[in-house]
Amino acid sequence: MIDGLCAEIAARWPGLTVERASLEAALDERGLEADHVNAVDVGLALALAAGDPVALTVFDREICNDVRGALMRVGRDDDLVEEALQQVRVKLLVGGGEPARILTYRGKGPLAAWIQIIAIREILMAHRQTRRESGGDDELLHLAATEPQLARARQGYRDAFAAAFRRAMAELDQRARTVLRLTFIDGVGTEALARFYGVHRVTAFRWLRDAREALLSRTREHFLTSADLTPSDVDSIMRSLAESLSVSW
Amino acid sequence: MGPCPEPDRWFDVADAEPTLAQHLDECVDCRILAASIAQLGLVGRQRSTFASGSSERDLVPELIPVGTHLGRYTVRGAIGAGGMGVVLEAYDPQLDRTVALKLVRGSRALDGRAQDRVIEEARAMARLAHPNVVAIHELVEVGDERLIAMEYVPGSDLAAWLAGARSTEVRLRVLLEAGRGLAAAHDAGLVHRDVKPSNILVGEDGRARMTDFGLAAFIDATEGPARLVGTQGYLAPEVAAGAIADARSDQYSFAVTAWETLFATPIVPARRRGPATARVLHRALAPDPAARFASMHDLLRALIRASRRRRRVMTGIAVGTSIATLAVAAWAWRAPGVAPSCSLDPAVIAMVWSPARKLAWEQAMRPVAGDQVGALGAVIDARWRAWQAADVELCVAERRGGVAASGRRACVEAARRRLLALVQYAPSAANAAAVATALSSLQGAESCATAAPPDPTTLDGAARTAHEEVVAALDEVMAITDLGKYAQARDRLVELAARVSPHDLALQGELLYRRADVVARAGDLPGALPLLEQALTIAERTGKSAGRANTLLLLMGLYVEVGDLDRAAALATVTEAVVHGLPPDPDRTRKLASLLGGIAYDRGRYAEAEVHHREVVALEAELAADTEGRSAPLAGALVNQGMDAHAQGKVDDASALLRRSLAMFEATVGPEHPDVALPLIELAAIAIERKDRDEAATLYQRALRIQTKVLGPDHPHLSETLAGLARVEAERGHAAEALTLYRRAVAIATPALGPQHPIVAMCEYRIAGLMDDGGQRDEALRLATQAVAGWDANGLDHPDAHLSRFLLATLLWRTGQHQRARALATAALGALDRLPEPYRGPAENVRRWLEGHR
Repeated sequence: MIDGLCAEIAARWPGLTVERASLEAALDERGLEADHVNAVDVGLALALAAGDPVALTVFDREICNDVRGALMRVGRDDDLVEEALQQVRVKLLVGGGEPARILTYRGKGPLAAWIQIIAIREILMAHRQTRRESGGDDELLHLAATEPQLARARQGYRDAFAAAFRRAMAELDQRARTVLRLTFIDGVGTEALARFYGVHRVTAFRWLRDAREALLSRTREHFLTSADLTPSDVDSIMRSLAESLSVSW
Repeated sequence: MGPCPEPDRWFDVADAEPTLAQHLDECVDCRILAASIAQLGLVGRQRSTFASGSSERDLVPELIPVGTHLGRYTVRGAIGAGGMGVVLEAYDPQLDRTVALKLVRGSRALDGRAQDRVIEEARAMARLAHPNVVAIHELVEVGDERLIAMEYVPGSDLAAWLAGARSTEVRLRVLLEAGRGLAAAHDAGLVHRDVKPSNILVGEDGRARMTDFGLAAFIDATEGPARLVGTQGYLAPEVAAGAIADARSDQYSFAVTAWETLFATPIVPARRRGPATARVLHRALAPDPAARFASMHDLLRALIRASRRRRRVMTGIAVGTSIATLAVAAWAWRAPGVAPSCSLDPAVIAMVWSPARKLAWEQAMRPVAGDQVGALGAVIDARWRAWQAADVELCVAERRGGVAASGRRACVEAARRRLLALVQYAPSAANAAAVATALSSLQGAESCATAAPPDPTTLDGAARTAHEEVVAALDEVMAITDLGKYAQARDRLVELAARVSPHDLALQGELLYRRADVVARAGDLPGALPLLEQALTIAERTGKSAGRANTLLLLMGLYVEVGDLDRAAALATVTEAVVHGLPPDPDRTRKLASLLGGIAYDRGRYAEAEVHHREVVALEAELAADTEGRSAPLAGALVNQGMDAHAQGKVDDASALLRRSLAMFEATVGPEHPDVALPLIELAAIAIERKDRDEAATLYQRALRIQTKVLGPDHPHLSETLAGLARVEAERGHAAEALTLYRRAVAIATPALGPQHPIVAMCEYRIAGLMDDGGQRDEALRLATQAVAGWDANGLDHPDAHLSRFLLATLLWRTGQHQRARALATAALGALDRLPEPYRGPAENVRRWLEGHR
């Protein structure tokens, strides 16, 4: 089987050399068979780590292009993208005495996607000084709180609402919270969500809808007990929250 | 907060939970990374797509990010790009619907005349309401941009749709639908100018729609020389030469599209003896527009006629076979090496369904089926013709080469064995209804197009022989099962299992699965569970995903049926993952959707149930397109949709759906089939609500009669009917009859479905009520306690559950347990208050009682 893989690599990138024994060992170490869909990419990673000139050309021409495209679509300007690309290149390919980091590629997904993930992470981290925690969910709250119904309300009510909302968020399960944030803060669509979680679109939609319903009903409950508003006032505020957090099939 | 995940971890988010879930919840940076990964689609498998991605489409998010507000619309993503602009998926909060939003590219730069054209186009399109044309909602101006809001069609375009395996009939249907849309546009004075597969959408509902009249304009002879528009390869020659596009050049482009759809090959020059459909298309492809059809309507009519001719030729093969075989033999002798023809061996015909055999069969069937013999024979005729057509089609494909046909061949052969076994065993069936059921659930050769090749076997010698024999015998067992002879089928399966080598795990697993199916169908649900769990273990061990999927589906179905919704729901996620990881299979997709619908329904989430059940109806409607839009499974799916509508208070919709289903059942499986009971029971429930008790009683009695006859007097399915009839009797004041019926329902349901099943709890509650009315307080208290325990165990949020608690409360009060009584009644009131409007009526009684009993 390993012969077939070597032939496939040779056919795909003529002139690229990867040592048969080290390829076999690398696959073995990663628990992959030679006919695994990403075995070819493991070969490419080995060649890159060894500084193979053909592999480096493949990296610069093909993979960097993919990465550039991904970074642009994540919404970064040209200079930042080129800078990040350079950093990723150094990080992955230059070992400086140590084995090159590209060897940590385990073949779980395509190499190009793996590198794109690293690059996006790089660019996100480069412009963020500290890691942030999601505690207050103020972005999500902000979506709700700018609704005119609530914006007109007295400060006391707004605080009570914010507290109710935070409490409701805290009571959801982890995935529900993440799904809500991905959808309403980050704008991830149901389809992309489904793909990310490896579930059917109907399932993703259901997660999202259940999470939203739980959030709304709990916020209402807590809000009712904490503010001396009539249920119909609360309901009209809740309606505007429901509108700003709307989901559609 | 734990460390951020390594890049590899993102590739299996589904398996990496819950540690990753926890991290994503806590780390904003990783969540934003996750959002990017999700939006770029870097990980995971795509489960369903819209159009096949073009590079242009991929650029759209960069131009118009998700979340952008365009007027009142919120952009949710890109659908595609092409023609004159990009198309976005957007949400319209005002009407709470998803729309497709077409941005006319660079519209601000267009001159006045071009802008007018865009407006004209949208107006003309908006006037054109046709089921096969994407509907235009409105024209919107945002700043300098002009947008067209149109119907959002989840599904795929024809180009992508054709990549899947589709039967010729279905391809023809989709094509004709698109053609009708185009014809309607022509009637309205519109020219499309860019007809091609990617401008035809095939919705998830199976309906084809023409879209992107992006280049269409009013037929306007004064417009002057048009610039070259349209797509190379689809463009009519006169347009390529500079002529103005008109309805006839559309006809040409449509014919190119039709050729690709029907034949999946490049267009070949006209021949005198090609398929009739090809000859029709050749006329539409005439270089001289005047030589084409006068209109799209004429072209469509000719296509329909030609395709009918094709079917007649196919069925004719059976009759002329012996002559054809002789001729082939002579030809083969003269020219050695030429493959034999695709006509059928007369020996096969004689064995399965020759005229002589049919006659003998009808005689043997007469004692069982009486005057329904003729109708049954006709169904077998049709089945047999369908099988022959599939066989010939496959044979032609095999000879043309390039078809990895081994899976299809095995599947077609199995279909023949099943039909043969059914013909053989039908005379020993209990009655005509059982034969009709078996025929309607018979898996024919038409589903073979997507059959996977058989697994390469590692067995040898005796084990291999046993394997092949048992596989062939299984088809016979399936026919026996379908005929309702469950005991016999079970015994055969046990016997077959003994013959299979213990190393042939996969087949052992399949036998177990079949046995579980038979046992469950015989009504012994608890007996089926351990068999299925065993089958599941084997399927997991052998890595047989299809076996695993089927087993999971059956297991889920059983849990749903016994009311164990938590277990069913727990299996749902993994079952969905397994099913969607396999190549698409309409049967499994349909089962899954209908189970998910069932779970949602039983949980009281009727709107969600409706989403799933609509999907099933759409799938079934597509499959039924060849049988005049009628089929027993479609009728079954309509019942579910009717029940969803009923539960949401849409009584008229429900009634219409159920009546349609009833008529379809009667037309397809006959008025005595057990499934006819399904719409009857639901219609009866509606009649009760309308206080039409006589009607309700009639419907229930008819259902009960049918079920008893086919399923026997003790089948669990009877319990719901009995309970319904009991309720009618109680409402008519016949307490004694009602009691007897309720008790029978409990006696039947408890052993099969368990003491906490909703139907049991419901009956016990009603019996308790009747006992209480009759003054038998102790017995009433005992049963109400039992009912409430049942509801507590199944956790269902059903009006009867809360009313049971209230009844128990009133009974307890009278024994002096005031505190417990009030607590129960208060809980019941809270729950009733949360129910949808139509079910809140009894809450008032509870409230008043609470006020009076402090």
